[in-house]
Amino acid sequence: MIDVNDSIKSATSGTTRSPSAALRVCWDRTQLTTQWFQLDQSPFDDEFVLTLNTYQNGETINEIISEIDNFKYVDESDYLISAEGLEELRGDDYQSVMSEADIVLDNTTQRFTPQVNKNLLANPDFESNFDSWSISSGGTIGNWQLVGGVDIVSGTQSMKILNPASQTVFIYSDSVDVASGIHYTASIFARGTGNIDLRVVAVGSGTQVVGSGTLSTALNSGTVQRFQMPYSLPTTAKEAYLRVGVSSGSMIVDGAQLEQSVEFTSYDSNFIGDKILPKRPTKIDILMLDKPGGTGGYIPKFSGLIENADPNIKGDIINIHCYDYATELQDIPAQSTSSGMGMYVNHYSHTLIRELGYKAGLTDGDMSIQSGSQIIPFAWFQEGSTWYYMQNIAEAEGGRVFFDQDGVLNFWGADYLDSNSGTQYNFTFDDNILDLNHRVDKDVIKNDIVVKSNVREVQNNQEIWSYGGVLQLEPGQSTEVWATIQDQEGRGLPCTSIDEPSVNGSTSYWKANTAYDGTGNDISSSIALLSWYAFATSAKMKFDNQGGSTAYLSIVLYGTPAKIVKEIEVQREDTDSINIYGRQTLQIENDYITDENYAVNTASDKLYNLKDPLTHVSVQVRGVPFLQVGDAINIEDGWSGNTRNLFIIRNRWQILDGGDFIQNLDLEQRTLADFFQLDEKTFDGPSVLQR
Amino acid sequence: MRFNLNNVEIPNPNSFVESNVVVGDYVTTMNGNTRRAIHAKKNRWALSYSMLSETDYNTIKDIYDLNTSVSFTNTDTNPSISATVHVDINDRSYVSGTGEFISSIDLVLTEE
Repeated sequence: MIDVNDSIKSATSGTTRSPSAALRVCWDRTQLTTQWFQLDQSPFDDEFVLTLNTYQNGETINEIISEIDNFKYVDESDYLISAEGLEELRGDDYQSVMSEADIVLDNTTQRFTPQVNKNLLANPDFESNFDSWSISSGGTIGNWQLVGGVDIVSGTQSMKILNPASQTVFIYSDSVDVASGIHYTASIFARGTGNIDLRVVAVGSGTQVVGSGTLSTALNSGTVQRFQMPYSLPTTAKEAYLRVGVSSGSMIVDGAQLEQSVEFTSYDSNFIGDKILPKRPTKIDILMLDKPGGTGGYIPKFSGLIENADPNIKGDIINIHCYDYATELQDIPAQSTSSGMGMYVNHYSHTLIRELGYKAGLTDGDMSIQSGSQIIPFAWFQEGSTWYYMQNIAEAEGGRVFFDQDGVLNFWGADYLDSNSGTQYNFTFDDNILDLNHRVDKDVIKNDIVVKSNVREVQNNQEIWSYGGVLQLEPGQSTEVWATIQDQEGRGLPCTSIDEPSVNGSTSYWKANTAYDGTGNDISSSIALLSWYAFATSAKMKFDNQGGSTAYLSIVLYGTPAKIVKEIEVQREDTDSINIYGRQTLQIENDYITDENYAVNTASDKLYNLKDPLTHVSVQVRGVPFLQVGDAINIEDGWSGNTRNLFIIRNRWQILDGGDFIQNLDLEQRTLADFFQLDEKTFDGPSVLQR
Repeated sequence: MRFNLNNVEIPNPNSFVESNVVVGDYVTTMNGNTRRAIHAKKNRWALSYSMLSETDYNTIKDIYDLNTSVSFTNTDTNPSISATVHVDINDRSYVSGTGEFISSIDLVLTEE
């Protein structure tokens, strides 16, 4: 359960409440400090910076929108129509969590339509200053002022131009790059007295004006009008700017726009259209208040990345699907030579999880790792992803690995998980249960549980490979030799170390004679080892015959192999369940499970939890946003008024347009920490009761 | 009572109705109890005109054609109104036999 204050709890359980959602997106993946994940290869990642105000290329940017975690997020809550999410326990032993979210945003302003930014002007709504605008030589600075409270289009400020003279006094924007020979349209909202003069001014090489289009018309003193001036730029145009002025009166203007179009389109003060891209960091919070503007607070609900964005032009909405960082880790291979051969001997589970986190690019600040109780005698991160190995280790520990709602990697060891399994919330037919189903599904019944593991342990230094036959090397000849290290069954045999061979070495060595059968003169010292590379299950070496005779080499390598020392296979079945539903087998294979007693417990736990279909319940409730998958809850499970204690294994939540915060929870019965299993061997002597 | 729409005074309507709009939803628990989510409370104002001159109609229509939300205020303290509203105009009907177009409309203003 997410830790929240009493005010949020009170607001959540009130008969009337005011829930809403908040959305933050880092559209350009700009980070405040170091990288967290690898940026994708989009060129946008290199140069673009998200800003609150608009800037032209090359202009100095010195603002920061917000600082949350490592990314600069933009609050898009005003556009949020609905948000839905899914959190789900994954794995045979529910050892991990995956989550995703779907967002619908209002796109009536076309803010989220992928496009080249249509409004080319910087500071188009004069919100806080006159930056990016200049005053004509005929005017003075006193002729312009910000007009607080007269917001005619956007924000809270507008610009007022006073000019009683008949000569037009004008302001003009900074020049922007344009494509020559095509239409651009200047537009602006205005009201006032006198005449407005609106122009698109085309600039060629240097500052030479090569043409302009002019609109001159009377202003309306009461009604705000939007004026436009479409203009086909000359072929010599390289840049253009908007110019607007007033004569014989005064004018309030706002919402200037210069766009590539034959006529004006909806006003756009935003700077987002070219950043609608996947893999943008995204956060969703639920705001739970007791009433609009009342007490309560935010509950972080989701943190992840955008997978895809689907603007629906007709509906003026954009659908965005997001996935959590666990999915990102599925694409990051664990194999690395940064820590020896990627092998770890006798490490606690939490140490290995942290090491995998480092391999994925996480730092200690990105991880919250609780201690585990299992020591893994040998771990080798070979071809799978970091997430794959994290899940296997969590399963072997009997713990859980997941990214939380803040995007932090969490690992809970078995003990920590058990100590956090108390009941978190009560759901009743009176207060908050909207619908309830007992899910009877053959696929969720498992009455035959098998747990398998091939346990490896690192052995003492020993012979692991020898050249198959004799290697013939002529005088002056060099040759490369690959040693593939296998066990007796022909499987790759990982070694934590392989000794470099030497002449007549005490471990790895080579020996060379002048005769094929090992007789003749010993010329081992005339052979040189030019290069040596040791890998996990192989080694590469290059020998050179620097003598004058043909040499016949034998080569032997020593190392410390991690051999399979124990094969665990535990089966537990429930005859009654098999008689009713037929045999339905769940097989758990995890080579990090090294303790047979632990395997017995795992099989027994799973059998107890899965043999009966009535332990699976789906319930729709008036949502409690601080509940998470894995939490235990009490629910009233029928009209009889009986309550049951069940675990949330799936949490689908939604807050739709104008709706309440609703959750659909899939629940299962699970044994708690005090499940005991008799040792199977003997009831006396050294045998003990164990969990 | 004088109304200003987008800072422009508009004629007094023949009738004026203020409605309360609750943005939210009800849910019903298994035992039939009602629970409510309230996101916001808004107002809607309906101003009905039965004899609107062409000039007055065009004043309102120009604001309607801005396609943006605008300010709506009145000068009275009861009811005191100061809101940003979306503008809708229901069917325009004409009164025949007059020298100019005389219109009947319902102007509906919905708080942003």
